[in-house]
Amino acid sequence: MTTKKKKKKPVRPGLPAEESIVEEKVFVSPKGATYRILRTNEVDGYEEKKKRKR
Amino acid sequence: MATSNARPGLPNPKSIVAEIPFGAGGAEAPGGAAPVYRILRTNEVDGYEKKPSKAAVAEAMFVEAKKKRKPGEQFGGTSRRIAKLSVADVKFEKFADVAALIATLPAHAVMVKKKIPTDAKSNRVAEEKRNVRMEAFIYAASVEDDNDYHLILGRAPDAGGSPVYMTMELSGLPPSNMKSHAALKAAREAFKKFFAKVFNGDLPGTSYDFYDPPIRVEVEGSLFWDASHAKGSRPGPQSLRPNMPVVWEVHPISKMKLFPPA
Repeated sequence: MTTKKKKKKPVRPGLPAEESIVEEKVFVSPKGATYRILRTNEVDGYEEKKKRKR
Repeated sequence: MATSNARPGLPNPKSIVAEIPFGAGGAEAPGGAAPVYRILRTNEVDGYEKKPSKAAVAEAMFVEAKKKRKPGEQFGGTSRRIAKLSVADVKFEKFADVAALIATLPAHAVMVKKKIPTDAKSNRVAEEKRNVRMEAFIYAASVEDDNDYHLILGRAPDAGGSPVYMTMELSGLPPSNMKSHAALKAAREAFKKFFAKVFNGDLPGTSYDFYDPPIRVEVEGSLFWDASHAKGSRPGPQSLRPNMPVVWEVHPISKMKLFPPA
């Protein structure tokens, strides 16, 4: 029996840092296309001091 | 955010959903001020209650934060109000993408030297009197206390090369007697209508939502250099900020068409 090391799915540019994601919502269109909203705790740079880690 | 549980009486770090700093007098610590108190919001409950997930606690905070915003659609800010709420009276320039637009923008140092005032009556300077149009992709979005939607737009995800993003804002609405009112309202409504149809009305909150795949849009608006961020921390979510080379914005967005996933 051979075991393969599971490869981490490559992430495309423009996705948030994994540790910032607090929720993932998946939507499927009537035509079957899938969209995800990745809700994060990321804020604008000037708001980071009062950031709420959600 | 690192959280110490060094002293007895602090929660298990694994249960912490949010750390909320408060300054003297009970107010949330303003930018740069050292917090006096912290609220550590957790998902810990009494032993006889069902433990909520951290996501559920976060969602409740999200709803709470939404409620704290000034209600309605009106612009609630003051900084450069005139510029943010008006559309430049010039022809539109068409660009292939965000990167092509950024390549034409005056350098940050050049704009800093202009010392653009940030009071409410501050209108566009000559460099900002440009209208632009392009196809772009919304990668992330949030809503601000002044009712502006911050949209972070970039090139097509398969465009290749280094990613590059910039901020474009769906401004809170101006008074109804302003010439720009109808266009700005139509742009916001297009955005909200799309979200109602595709995302069950799940609009972004006060921290950034990311979209996967990014949302293709055709967008128009006027250029704006965000003088309030001439120095210091810049707009944009942490994950995208390293690839946001300018504080130039399209602000306000005067027209927007959004396309569902193929």
